[in-house]
Amino acid sequence: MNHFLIGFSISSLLRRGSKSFFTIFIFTILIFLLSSILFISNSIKEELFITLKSLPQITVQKLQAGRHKNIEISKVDELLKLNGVQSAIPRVWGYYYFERAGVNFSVVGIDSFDKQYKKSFQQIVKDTDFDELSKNNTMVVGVGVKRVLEENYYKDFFNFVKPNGELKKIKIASTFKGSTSLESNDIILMPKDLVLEIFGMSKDEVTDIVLEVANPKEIQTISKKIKNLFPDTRVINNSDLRVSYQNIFDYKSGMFLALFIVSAFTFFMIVYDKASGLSSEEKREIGILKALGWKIDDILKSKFFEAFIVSFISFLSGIILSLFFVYTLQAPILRDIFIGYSRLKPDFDLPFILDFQTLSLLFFLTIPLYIAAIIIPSWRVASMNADEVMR
Amino acid sequence: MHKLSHYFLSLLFILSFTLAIEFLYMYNTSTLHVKEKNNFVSLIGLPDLSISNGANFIRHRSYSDTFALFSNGPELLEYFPSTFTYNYSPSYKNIPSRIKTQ
Repeated sequence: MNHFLIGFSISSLLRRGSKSFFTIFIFTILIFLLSSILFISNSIKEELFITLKSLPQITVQKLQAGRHKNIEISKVDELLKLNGVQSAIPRVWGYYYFERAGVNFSVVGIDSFDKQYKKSFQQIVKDTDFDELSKNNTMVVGVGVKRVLEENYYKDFFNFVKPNGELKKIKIASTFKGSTSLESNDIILMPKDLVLEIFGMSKDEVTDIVLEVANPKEIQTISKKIKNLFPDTRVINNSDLRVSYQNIFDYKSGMFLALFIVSAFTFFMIVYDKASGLSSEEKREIGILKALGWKIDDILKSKFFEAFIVSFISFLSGIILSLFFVYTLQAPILRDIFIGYSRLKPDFDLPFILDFQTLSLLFFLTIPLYIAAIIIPSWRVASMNADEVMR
Repeated sequence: MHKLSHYFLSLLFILSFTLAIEFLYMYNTSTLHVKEKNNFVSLIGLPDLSISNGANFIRHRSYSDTFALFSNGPELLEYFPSTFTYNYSPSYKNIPSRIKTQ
């Protein structure tokens, strides 16, 4: 490789100092913005997907008039009769709207604080006092719930308003660990009986039923069987959940990709337009080079180096800046686009995900296009006669 | 070697080095708490992240009212299948799913 050619390209970039600097600046910002959006989206997506395998394999909900209704607990026995179903657990959960703060808590009931949960508890609950939990009328709350309740002067307990207007006082036993705040921030966990009482539900109905299947390959078949057995149900299996997760983020990051394509296209159009109408000075430069005996090949090489230097420096700087912005500063403004408005926002750190696919997408979307936008018009000029160009 | 190409190579080296250091630092400091999160999710059994919970169809999108992703969202007109969270059950009226589930 001819190093003098690289030197020549750099000096011609420096000769057009402010213009080159401006191009690098705009290009860096473009790459910075798009890569930040993709990095945030990747991190949140990863947060969702790492827990996918722990979600229920099949969830059976009841639909009535197109809406979700509570399902009869008697269906559990019929579901258990299906071949391949290992367990069927009726669940009680729902939303409790806390009017003073304007937030929805997700209240989840489990079969009393049983010994079988002791091990999981120790890993997810702060300062576990298991015996305290086993006593009735206690609950474990997410960090966000705890904060909202404290702001409203509920330090150790909370008064739930039952459908008939009576109050139900429940003690706060502990909080979930901060590391799970993305999942647990708005969750209130308490014994099932208490949830039934707070929501005013009868004992023979539950919110939904989750099934465990011994052989994961049979999930689809069992889902079909359930649908045929109970036509009024909606059967959600874990592949549906995966699709829904995928759709949510494809929609948002796709929207930004579309915006980027528009802005990138405008950028390249300006570059192409400027380059194709090469300034008379640049044309003369090519003409002089040709008159001095430079081959078209050499001229194109020097133009290639110019374009490569500009685009590669912008690419590297854009990625460095966006990594710092997303993972060290935690993406101050852009993050809100994905998180949206909420009174009960969790504190969480975006986990660092090194995704080569994203990086190569960015690389091939920007650098070759930019180089082409510079080289093609230069080639057109360089293939003309030297005297014709300089005239 | 030409002096300017020397400068350019140094600049490239500095940028790549910064990038590599950034990658290494983040790779070593960032933790996902996979085990804790999976324990939590298997205990609670509910999907989605609690990043937005102004309304129930936002909190548990994948379990919320039938099919629609933003059922009451003013900013988005529903449009099948891109804004829908679920596919139809394949056996229901024998309508084949239009969303591929791999």
